[in-house]
Amino acid sequence: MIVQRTLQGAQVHLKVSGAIDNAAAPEFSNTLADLTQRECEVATLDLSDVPRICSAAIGTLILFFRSQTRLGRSAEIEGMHQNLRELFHTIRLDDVLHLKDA
Amino acid sequence: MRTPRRSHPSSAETAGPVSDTLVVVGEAGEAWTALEALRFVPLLRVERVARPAWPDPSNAGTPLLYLLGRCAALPDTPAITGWLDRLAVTDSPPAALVLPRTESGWCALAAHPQCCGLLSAQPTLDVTEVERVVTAARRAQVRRWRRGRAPTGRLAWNFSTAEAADGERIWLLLASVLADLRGLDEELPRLGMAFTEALTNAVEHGNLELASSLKDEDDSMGRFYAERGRRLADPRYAARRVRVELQIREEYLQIRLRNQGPGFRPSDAVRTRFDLPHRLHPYGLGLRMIEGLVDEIEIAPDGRGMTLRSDLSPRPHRRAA
Repeated sequence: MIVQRTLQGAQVHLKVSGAIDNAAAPEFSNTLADLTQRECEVATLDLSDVPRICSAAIGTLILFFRSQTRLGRSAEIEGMHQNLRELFHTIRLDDVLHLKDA
Repeated sequence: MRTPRRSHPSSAETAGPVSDTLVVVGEAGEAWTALEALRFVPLLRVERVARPAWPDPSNAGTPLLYLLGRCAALPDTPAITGWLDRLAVTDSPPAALVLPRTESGWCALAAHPQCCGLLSAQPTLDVTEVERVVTAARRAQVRRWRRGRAPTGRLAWNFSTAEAADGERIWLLLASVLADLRGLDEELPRLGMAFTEALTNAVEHGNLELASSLKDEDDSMGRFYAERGRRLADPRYAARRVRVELQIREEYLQIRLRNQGPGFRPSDAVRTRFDLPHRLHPYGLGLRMIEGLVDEIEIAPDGRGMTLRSDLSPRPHRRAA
């Protein structure tokens, strides 16, 4: 998993590439936790190059979105690999996480 | 994401790349331990075979694990001898470690005496001969399975908690068998995701007794992983095993997982899966994923196991992953 982070003021853009499997999930969790601490008002995640994701990483995403909302900030997913899109539909998360291009 | 290949300092490594095959034969758990010690990553083939003419009848059903792969760097001699010494003084299942000839001409073959039944190993045996024997045994087993109406069979492994914690690697093991037997290329990614989720559940919520609710606070994931690491190092949890049983039939494929944790109430799992207001809980997702990826999921009545089943009969409309 490779994470590219671009900060612009209070906005952050996160581009993740590669599978977020069980081995990568802790690092992914740390990355999102760091974003929360940085007080980013707007967080945009690009997951178009993530072909596979584990449930732990999805849980991390949910926590991040929940945290952003609770803190009065925003988070959205601007791109999502087709595999993830189908998976999120299967587990009925596609309508609760904000998909920008859904 | 695959763990980066770890190299191990050796004279062969400094002499340039080698393209040799490492063959490890042994009981599954023992072989994994050896691989860890030897920093050996690639995994191409794994089989369980009947053990011919084994000296100890009580070991007759012990699975053998064959690993054939490419070795980027040969391990150093102390690592090899240390492993063999340990085998010699314990009741560990017999095993053989064969290191191939390298460009520098270095060749080592070390075999536990009891391994002769399988490999007829002699210190002078050339690695190509060992490969031939191992490959022949593997093909013979596959032929036995295929003798019936369809390639069917049943394999089982008992992994330590630490071994099972690397679900991706364990899946490689199963996938290699499945690909050989049935050519399930189309099904493998879905099965892999479902299996690794089920295995993660068995490890984290079974053997390690980590409560799902530990994940339910905004900053809780870091603590969850820290506690996970602590328990993996704690013998009280680490000594537990996860049994994985793969059953291939003409019409279906079944993977059964059993852990040695205290178990949970199956009714709780069902509630977590279907209670839609809980969709934004960061736990219970694994079960929902599994349910969407395989045709049937069954949780053991004692809450210590799970069975996944995928239909193998031709269907015009497969669900998308």
